[in-house]
Amino acid sequence: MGELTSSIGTNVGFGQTEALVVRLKERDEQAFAEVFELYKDLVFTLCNKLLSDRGEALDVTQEVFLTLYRKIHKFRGDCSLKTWLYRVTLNQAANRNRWWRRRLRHQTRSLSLGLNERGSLSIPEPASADPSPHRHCYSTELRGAIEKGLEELPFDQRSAVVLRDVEGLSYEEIAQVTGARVGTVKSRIARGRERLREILEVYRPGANR
Amino acid sequence: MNCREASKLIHSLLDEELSTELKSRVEKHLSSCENCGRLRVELELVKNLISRPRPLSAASSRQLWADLERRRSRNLFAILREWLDSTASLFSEWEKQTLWARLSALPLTAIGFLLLAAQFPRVPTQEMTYPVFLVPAAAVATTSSGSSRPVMMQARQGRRELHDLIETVWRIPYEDSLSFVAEIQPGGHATIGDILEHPRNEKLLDAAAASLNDLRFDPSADFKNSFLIYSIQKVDVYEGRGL
Repeated sequence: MGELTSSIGTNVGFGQTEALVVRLKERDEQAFAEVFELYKDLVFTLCNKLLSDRGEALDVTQEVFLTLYRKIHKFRGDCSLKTWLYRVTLNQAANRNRWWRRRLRHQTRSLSLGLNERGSLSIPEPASADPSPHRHCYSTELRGAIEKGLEELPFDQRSAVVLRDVEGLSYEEIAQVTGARVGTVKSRIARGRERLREILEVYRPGANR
Repeated sequence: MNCREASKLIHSLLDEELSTELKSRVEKHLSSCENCGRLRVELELVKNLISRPRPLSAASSRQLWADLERRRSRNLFAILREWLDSTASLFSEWEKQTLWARLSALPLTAIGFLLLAAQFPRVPTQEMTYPVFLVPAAAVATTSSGSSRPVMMQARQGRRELHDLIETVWRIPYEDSLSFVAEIQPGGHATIGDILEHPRNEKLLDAAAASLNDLRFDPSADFKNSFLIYSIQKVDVYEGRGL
C-alpha cells in the first residue's frame, strides 16, 4: 500500500485534485470515474482493515463513493480531497462497526476471510518461492493473530493504527482525518500496537504455548 | 535516555516522526539496551504484519462501479426494492441468530402444555351422574312419597364439605355403580341413609362416608327448610341402572 499511496501523492498534484473537485461539484461523470479509479484501493483497503470482512468492506466502499457523489457540495476544501474521503470512510466504517457489533458480529467469523482474490483458499503452491512451508504457516498464523487482535482493538485505536501502518499517513494527517489532536493520535497508535504486541507474546520463541 | 523515555518514543521512531537529534538519541539507547531492542523488533514485526495490503481485484472493482452506477441513477422503485432487500436480509439474519432460541422454546412449550394438562384429572365424562340436588322440602314431600325417583333440581354446591363429598363419590368407577341417599337430619347431622348398590371399591366408599360424616350444617343459617335429603347417585351407565 505504501507505494500506492505515494504514487497517488506524486501523480495527483494539489491543483489537479482541486480541478477534480470543481468538476465533481458540476456533476461531471468523467470526474467521478476518475476519483473512483484513484481512490478505490485506498478506501477499500482502509475498510477491509477496519471491518475485517471483505463483503462488508465492499459495501462500505460503495457507500463512501455514493456519499462522495451526493455530498460533494458540502466539501469546502479546507482539507485535501483524500483526507475528506478518509474521514467519510472512517465515519461510515464506524457506523457499520457499531451497527454490526450490536448484532454480535464479533462472535462470528467470516468464511471468506481465508479466501484470496480469486475466491479459493490461500494455500501455498507446491513449488513456490516461499522460503519453507513451516515458515509460511508461521507467518500465516501470525498474520491471522494480528488480524484478530486488530478486530478486538477499540475503534479509535484500530483506525489510528491502520491509517498509519496500512495507509501510511503521517500523524498530522491522521489527526486531520480523525479530528483528534496529534498527541491523542500518538497515544492511540502506541496503545494499539502495544496491545497487538501482547498478542504476539505467545508466538515468541521460547514462550510456553 | 532511560527505558521509560525510549519506550514512549519508540513508536514515533518507527513511524519516522522524530527529529534527527531525538532519533539518534533513541537509536543509541536501543542499541545499548537489550530489552528495548527486543521491543523494537517486536513492534516492527507487528507493523509489518499489519501493513499487508489487500488490493481490490479488477473484477470486484468492476462490480463495485456497476453497483455505484446503478445506485446513482436510482428512482423510487429502486429505493423501495433496496429497502425491501435490506429488510429481508435483516429478517433472515434475525432468523439465523434466533434459530436456537426458538428451537429451544419448542420443548419448553410442550412441557408447559403437559403441566397444564396434568392439572385436570382424567375423569370420564359423567353425563349420567347426578351430583347433589338441593331439593326443597315441598318438592321432597311430593316426590319422595309418590315415587322412588329423585327429582332433579338445580344443584348447588355452596359448601366445601359438600364439594369434597361429591368429588369422592365421582372417583368411584362406573363398574362399581353406586347409588346412595344422604340424609341430613334436622339437627344438622348427616348420614348415609341408603346404599342401593354395594360398590366394590370400599375404600372410596369409606371416604365418601367420612366426608358425609364431616358434614355439619347449621340449619338455621344454611337452609330455610328444616328437613333436607341429599341424594347422590352413581349410575352404572352400561346397564342403565340407577334411575
